[in-house]
Amino acid sequence: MAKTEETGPLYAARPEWKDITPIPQYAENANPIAPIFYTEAYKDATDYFRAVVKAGELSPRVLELTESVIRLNPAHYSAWQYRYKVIVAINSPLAPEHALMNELATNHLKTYQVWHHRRLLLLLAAKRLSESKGEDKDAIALSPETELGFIASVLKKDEKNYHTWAFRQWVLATFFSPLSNLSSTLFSTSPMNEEEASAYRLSMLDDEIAFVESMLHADIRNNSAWNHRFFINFKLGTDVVMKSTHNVAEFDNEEKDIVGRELSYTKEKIALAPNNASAWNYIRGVLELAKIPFSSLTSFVLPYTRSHGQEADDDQIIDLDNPLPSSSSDLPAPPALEFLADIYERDAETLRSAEQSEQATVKEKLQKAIPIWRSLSEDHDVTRKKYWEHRIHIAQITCS
Amino acid sequence: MSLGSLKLNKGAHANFCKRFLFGIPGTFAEADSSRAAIGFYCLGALDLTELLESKTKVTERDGWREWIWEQQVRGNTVSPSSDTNQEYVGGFRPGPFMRMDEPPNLKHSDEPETDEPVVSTSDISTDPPHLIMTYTAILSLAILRDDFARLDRVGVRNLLRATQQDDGSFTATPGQGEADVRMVYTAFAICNMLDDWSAIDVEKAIIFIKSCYTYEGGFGQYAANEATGGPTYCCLASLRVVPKEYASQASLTEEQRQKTIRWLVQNQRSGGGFCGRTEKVADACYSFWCGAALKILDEGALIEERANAHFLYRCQASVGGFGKEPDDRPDPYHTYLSLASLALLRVRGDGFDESWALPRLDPLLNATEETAKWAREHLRSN
Repeated sequence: MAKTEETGPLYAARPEWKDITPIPQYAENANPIAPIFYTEAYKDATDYFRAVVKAGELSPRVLELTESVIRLNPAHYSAWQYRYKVIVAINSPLAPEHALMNELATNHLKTYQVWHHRRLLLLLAAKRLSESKGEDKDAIALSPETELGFIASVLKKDEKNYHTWAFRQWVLATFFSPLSNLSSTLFSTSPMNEEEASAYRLSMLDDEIAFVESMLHADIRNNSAWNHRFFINFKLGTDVVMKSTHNVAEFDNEEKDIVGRELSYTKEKIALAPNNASAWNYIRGVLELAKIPFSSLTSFVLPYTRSHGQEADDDQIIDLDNPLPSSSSDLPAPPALEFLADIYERDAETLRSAEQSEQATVKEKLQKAIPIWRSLSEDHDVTRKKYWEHRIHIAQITCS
Repeated sequence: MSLGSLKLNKGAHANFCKRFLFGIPGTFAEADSSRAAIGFYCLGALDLTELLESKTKVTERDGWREWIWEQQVRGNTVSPSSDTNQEYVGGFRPGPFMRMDEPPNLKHSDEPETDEPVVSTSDISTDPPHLIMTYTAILSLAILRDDFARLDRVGVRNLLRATQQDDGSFTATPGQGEADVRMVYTAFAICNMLDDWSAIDVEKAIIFIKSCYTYEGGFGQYAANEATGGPTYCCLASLRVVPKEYASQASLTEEQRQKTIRWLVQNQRSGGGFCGRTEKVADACYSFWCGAALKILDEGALIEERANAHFLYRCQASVGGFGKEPDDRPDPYHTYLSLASLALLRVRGDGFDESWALPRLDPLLNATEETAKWAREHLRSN
């Protein structure tokens, strides 16, 4: 019997499929674009798949067939869509489907369909739970908490996988946001009142921060983890669309605490690796969101802009708010030089918009930034020479 | 490092892409659902090397055009909420992988030629048209200088309408699948070529695009996702192709613009290539996505184009084609985007000889200026 490693015997050789007449792929014209020299297994499975779709058959054996097609071509979106249709139509149990998806997701991390199908399954589980008033024990296996655990295990293997991080954000936004009409409490075995649910949600967010910290501990340059940190702290639970298109309203005290915590955390991480662009981008993002001037970080930044052996006297004093660069780090750090120049430029801009200010003070500020940009262009960051020269040029126009 | 006599091996790249046009090994079954896109990368690379006419025969090019037209579909949307408001949709499928109708009998020679749209009626719930494939099919036809007499423009407009979501984003196929900025871009590019935006809610789509702007200055694939090169290109190109009446809504604030420029420039690595996300290694495709994004912002001059060309030089494979990084296996995607980057970020002289001369590229549509002009002139619905 003809057999393929991944998907078992050919469908054409299976007695239980005798009732189906396979539909071969459409005969293409003489000059097809990028024709694929299909393997026998793929040709066989897709011939049966087309026949089943044409007949509109929605049955358990179609689950097996679509699984074969997906294993041979995980990007076959029609097989994924049809598979989901079957699951809904025959009320197929979700726990085994979910277990299969754990395997397929791990093997095909970069395929869009793998992650989209998971979303549909989670939403279906939530629907079945709410319709059965929590009685559908099968659906409970797909709890968002279990999902977060699975995603964490996948991210341990491929730390920057874009789809996986995006999916984690979707799970959090869908089941752990007060703005969502779904909640992870649907999956809990004991009912919670509103207050308990809200406390539970907050404890989940603490766990999420701890998870991100473990990812950053493994790789401090994992920008996906930094982005996720920003998401949890400042995006989740807010109307993302509104916050990004309009100015953020005044921060309340709780949010101010988060901003303070994030600034301290990021400073510590910069101290460990002063050239890490991810951490600098993050701290810039937090300052801008909270409308805190860059100059508030002047005393933190200065030690990072000097070479070893050029420390200022007060660098010796231990200041917990402003951790010093580790002795092994490569100094001066270009991102710190850039930040310092930005402080001067932004100060100049602020002075310029305050009408009574002296033109001379504006110039003075900008003239402090120019040599820094020059040192970046000539010495510390020559890859971006043209960019630094452009910054100098703009400042010189302002000065003249 | 001496730049003595670097060669851009156009002939080998053209041959590499030509081989893909003629066939793909069965181990790449994943290509089955994106053949129209692979065709675009290959034809686009032939267009950029200006070797399409000398390396391929007229009969082959005619055959490819026919094949693309075979992918044009017409079918009814299934709308569960309102049966009364059913509308057929058109557009192109990626290939015949889900086509189930019988091929027509060979055309009788006495049948008159018509200019009517030739489309197959299909069940679009199982064999749907695809937005990204529609964009790549149209550009491929423009590369092949088709006159678009057979294009079902109403069908394409209805596809755009059927794929737009409530939040302004688009799905790839009607009513199904994920929605993100890749499909917004292809929808906008199609509207731009048709010079017809009536089928979509442009304002909503712009709000969706802006929700993907991140604290780093780049755009993510979906709101709050990490900034990355491909989506940033899609968003910036989308914001620039809109008609004048949306220009103010589609513009970034000066602060946002400066932050985007900073992030894009930051992605150029010391080896000359670009990474797609902060602190990642360079990958040839981002030489296009990030380079074109800076061009769209009118800041192409900030790129060290010679270093970029040198990186791409090292990504060339000896068998032809470009891989994502030096010594990597080549593929049509990285080959096309590397050439497109070199056509935008031009280098000549000082070690870069005549072989680096490439036709000019339209950064908004991602096609040579001549192909883009052809597409716009022939798609416009009069």
